[in-house]
Amino acid sequence: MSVQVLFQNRRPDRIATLDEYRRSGGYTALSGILRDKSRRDVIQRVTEANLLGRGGAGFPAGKKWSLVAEDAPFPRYIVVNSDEMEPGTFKDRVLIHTDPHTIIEGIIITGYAVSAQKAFVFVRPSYETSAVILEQEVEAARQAGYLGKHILGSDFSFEIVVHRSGGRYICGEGTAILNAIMGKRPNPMKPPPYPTVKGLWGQPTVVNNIETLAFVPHIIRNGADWFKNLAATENGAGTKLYCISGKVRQPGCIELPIGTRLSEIIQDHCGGMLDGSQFKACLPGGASTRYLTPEHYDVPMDFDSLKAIGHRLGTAAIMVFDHKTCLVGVTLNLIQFFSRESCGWCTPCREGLPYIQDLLWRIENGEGREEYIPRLETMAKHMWNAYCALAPGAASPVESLLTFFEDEVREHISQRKCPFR
Amino acid sequence: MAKVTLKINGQEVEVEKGTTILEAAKQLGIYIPTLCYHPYLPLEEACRICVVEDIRGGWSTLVAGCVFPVRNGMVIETESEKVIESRRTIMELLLSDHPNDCMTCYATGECELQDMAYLYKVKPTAFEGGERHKYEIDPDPNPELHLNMNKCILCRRCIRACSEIQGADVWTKVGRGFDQRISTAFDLPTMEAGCELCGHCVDFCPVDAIGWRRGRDEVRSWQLKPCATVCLQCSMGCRAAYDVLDEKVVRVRGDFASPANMGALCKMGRFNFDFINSPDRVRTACLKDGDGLAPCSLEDGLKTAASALEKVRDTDGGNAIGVVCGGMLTNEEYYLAQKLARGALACNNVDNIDGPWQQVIYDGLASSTGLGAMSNTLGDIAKAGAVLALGADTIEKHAIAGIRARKASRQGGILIVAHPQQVPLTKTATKHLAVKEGSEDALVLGLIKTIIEEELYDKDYLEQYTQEFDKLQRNIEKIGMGELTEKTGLGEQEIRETAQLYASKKPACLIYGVDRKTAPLNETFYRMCAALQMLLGSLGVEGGGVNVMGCTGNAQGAIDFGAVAKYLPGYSPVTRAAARKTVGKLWGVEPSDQGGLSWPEMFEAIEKGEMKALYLIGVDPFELGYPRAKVEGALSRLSLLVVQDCVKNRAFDYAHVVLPSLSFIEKEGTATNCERRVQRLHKALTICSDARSDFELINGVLSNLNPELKAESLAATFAEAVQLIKELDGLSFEQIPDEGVQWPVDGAGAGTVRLGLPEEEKARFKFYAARL
Repeated sequence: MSVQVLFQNRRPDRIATLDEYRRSGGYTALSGILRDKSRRDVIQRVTEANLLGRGGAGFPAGKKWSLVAEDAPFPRYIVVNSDEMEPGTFKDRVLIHTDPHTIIEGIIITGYAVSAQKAFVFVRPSYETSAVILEQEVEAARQAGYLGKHILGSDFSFEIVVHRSGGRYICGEGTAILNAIMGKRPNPMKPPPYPTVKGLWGQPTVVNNIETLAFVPHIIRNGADWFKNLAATENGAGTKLYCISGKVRQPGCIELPIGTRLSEIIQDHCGGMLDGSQFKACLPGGASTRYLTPEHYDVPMDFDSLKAIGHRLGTAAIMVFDHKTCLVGVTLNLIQFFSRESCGWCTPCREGLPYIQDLLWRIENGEGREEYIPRLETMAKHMWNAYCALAPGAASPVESLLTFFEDEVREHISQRKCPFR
Repeated sequence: MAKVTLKINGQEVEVEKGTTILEAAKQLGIYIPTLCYHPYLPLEEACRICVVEDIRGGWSTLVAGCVFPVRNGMVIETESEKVIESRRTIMELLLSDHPNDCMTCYATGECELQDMAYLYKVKPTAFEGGERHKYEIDPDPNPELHLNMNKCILCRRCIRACSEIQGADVWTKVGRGFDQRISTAFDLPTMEAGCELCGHCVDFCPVDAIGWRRGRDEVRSWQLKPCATVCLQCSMGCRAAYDVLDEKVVRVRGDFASPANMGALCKMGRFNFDFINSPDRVRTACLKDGDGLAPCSLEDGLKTAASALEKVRDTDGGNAIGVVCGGMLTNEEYYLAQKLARGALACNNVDNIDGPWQQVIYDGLASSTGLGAMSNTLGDIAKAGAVLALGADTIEKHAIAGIRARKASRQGGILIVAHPQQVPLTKTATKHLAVKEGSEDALVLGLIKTIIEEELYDKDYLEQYTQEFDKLQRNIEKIGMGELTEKTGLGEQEIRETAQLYASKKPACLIYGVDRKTAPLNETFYRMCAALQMLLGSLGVEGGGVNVMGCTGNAQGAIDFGAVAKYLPGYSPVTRAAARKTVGKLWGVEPSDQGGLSWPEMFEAIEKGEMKALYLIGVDPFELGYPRAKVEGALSRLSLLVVQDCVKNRAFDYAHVVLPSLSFIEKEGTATNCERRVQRLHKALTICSDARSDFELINGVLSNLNPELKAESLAATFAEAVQLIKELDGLSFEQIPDEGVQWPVDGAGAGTVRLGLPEEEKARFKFYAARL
């Protein structure tokens, strides 16, 4: 087993308690920075560690925090995104159920780094148990003096609020989440102004994924170099929670050095493909990424390596499909999800996704026609004209289906049925 | 401001930083199509039809032109292949969930979606077979709006118009994704959801999703003739565009270029035009015949009116005659009416229905601020830090001021509404004071008293720009808070808190809408309003001021042009010999030296038998607030009643002569709104009848009485009046620009937007003693 950072206190049957977290060095990072580190020191260390946002976009966390200007107005807020509605992704849930205090300490330190007063942890409503756990452990942290007024006797005061989402995919978008917390209709808002300048209630707000922030105490404690050395690749930094599902022997959420090769993840850590299954494709980072084909079976699973071959790491939720799986059916399933979850703000997404869904449904159900293929291509390309990033994300499986599996689509059309049924 | 240079379609353009691509393209005369964008609404960036290609370092991306700010060195293509393809796809998508029943759609010919489809040659068949929405057609009982959400393209202009312009927030988005639709909160019927019938959503709807009921299934857009004039139904002076078919107004839209209303209209302006074609419309002159009226030629009518008036003048004297004008006449008509009375009928008994109130507004404000009318503009109200709204139900009676006040409050300002009832404006108000009817004077004194006692006033401002503060200071002590609380019905604490609240955010803006039933008939109230504003350092500044708005459409013009007993045109008291002499020189006839009667005094004179003849111009005497029996008694006592109106009113039963006139929509001339803006009216339609403008009719009577006094033309009459009105210094009828000009006008024709701070010592704003 490689180095476990976030999962070091992982137990098969229960969550790690505050004491167990403390015994593993927990909250020493917080007490340390409150003793003699400035806000700038914290940001600098996280920047040096090259901690990239784990929510999917991979934006450097330290850089994001530094966008909150020194003289920015107060109050300032932290939003911790644990909406986790990306299909195939379940790392946040596992993380909360494993070691909630590494998250809480990370949030507090982030609050210190940007001089925020309050954090909102935005939890997917179907994760009610996770929300309850967080609420209990936030309370435990408060009892222990890590939250509230004058934390550990310092002049830093901070609160964490656990907020349950309304339960829609769009709520997890980095700006729609702000509207959702403010009780408004969760439409994305196009920057500028960026949330770091004008976010919640017009105040500076840092939005980070929950996994990103969970790394923060460990970086503070062990240093930037330690963190960078955790990676399996030269340019990567840290470990990553990979969620593997689909046709493998042992699916699940595992912590591995970032940049571990896909083949290694499947063969060594998931027990390989199911008996009689051959690797046909996978979605490397949730439903809004492109299909990876056997050609890239050995690709290191990190932001840069995937980007270099025209793919995205996304949330690192790897959905593995075998040769018996109909990818038209898979894509249709995903598009049904995206089309249902479109907020309806802009024309391409609102009208285009139902249209793509309609065409895919016809192809999958034997009503397809040759001319649907170029039309699907046009529509997928057209999603780039949408207001927010979710529409192009939704189009990724469609576009890559046509790029890598056009023959399979054509087979559906020529046979007038799904060849896998 | 920093400049940015970029290229659009190969043409270089330099624009200010922060300009959008769309605006920059407009400067070059390059057209970029839009749907959700509207220049008078906040940006939405929803439809994506305005995408343009942004070519940067070998990369090319499509960006939304309506919102994307220009950058230095940008290379933009607005009609590249990629752009066209993208626009066509958007159009195909929109049409894929649209009924496409242009054959029978009301909007055909003026539908923006249709135009766009035509421009980009998009057929509605591209995505056939997909799901279309089937919402109920016309599900809402709204009296003016026709809803068909199947046609909606979700540009959401209606939501923005309702929220941004009217501030009513009736419309909202419901549902998500493909099932998103426009509706009201909880899907309530629009009227229950707070619709104020302003009609802005219809105005902005690019299709026929929210459409007009008027004209539906009757007219096609290309049959309509667009005309524009100034609405005279209240004192806001909104410019409106009238869509006319033959002799009928079909619908009305606000004029976005008009500075007074900036595209907004109220429900009266937008929907109240049925009187033009009403069955009660007066189409011929009539003479009394037994118990009824018999039609006669216009010439006979005019001659009979003139000779009958002449007879009364010669037998009973000029003072036995009164001339009362309505509130919707033009400036030239008011001028001519008072010329008729003073020049040809040997009396000064001329008034307009707002005259007694308008006169004290002038007296109060001119003596304390030097400007006897609204100090600021309607637009200024939206810039206020705190608004105090007094008098009539603002949204109902002075709608533009009302929506500007709402805007101020939505932008973070304080809005205090004093009105006996909950009115539409109280919904957005920071504080609502349920004052007793007509007790605004006591409220203002209460605020002044608190501000002085708690020293909330602006000392430097008082020092620099005002005089005689001590007079007010000493005198206000004598007025007890008890008196004020009793009169207003408010607690002392409430008055004090209101004063603190109102003084907490500058500039403070006071608006008072005159309601004839309750408005005070003395100048002290207006002096106190001005005093309150001076104390807060908010007079003579943008976003502040004392803003008194008259009741009727051209109340300001009526008093400016002398249709009021006390003042000759230009506010010269008729009792001043020199002023009469000036007028005498101009006319060749000097006005009578006896003071005239206001219309309430005329009614008394009639009852006493001193007044024998009355010439009513656009007035229904039964609408003046008197009991019916009193009016009936007075009218039946008259030996001569000339009624001139466009629609039959109850005075016709008592008339000896009826003269048929035109409504404001059918007239030429000028009118002055409450913000002192002189604007041109333009005839929007002509109905086939003997009816003539009040100008022509009064002129007809006048020329029969004394051909020397006859007006040559509107322009000549305006020019003649201007010679007497120093506030309009040298302004010529033809030179009045479309957006109007606000008096005082300097010799070069430039107007005055708002009262400024006094520069000379003797022009300082003046405090007066308080009186209850």
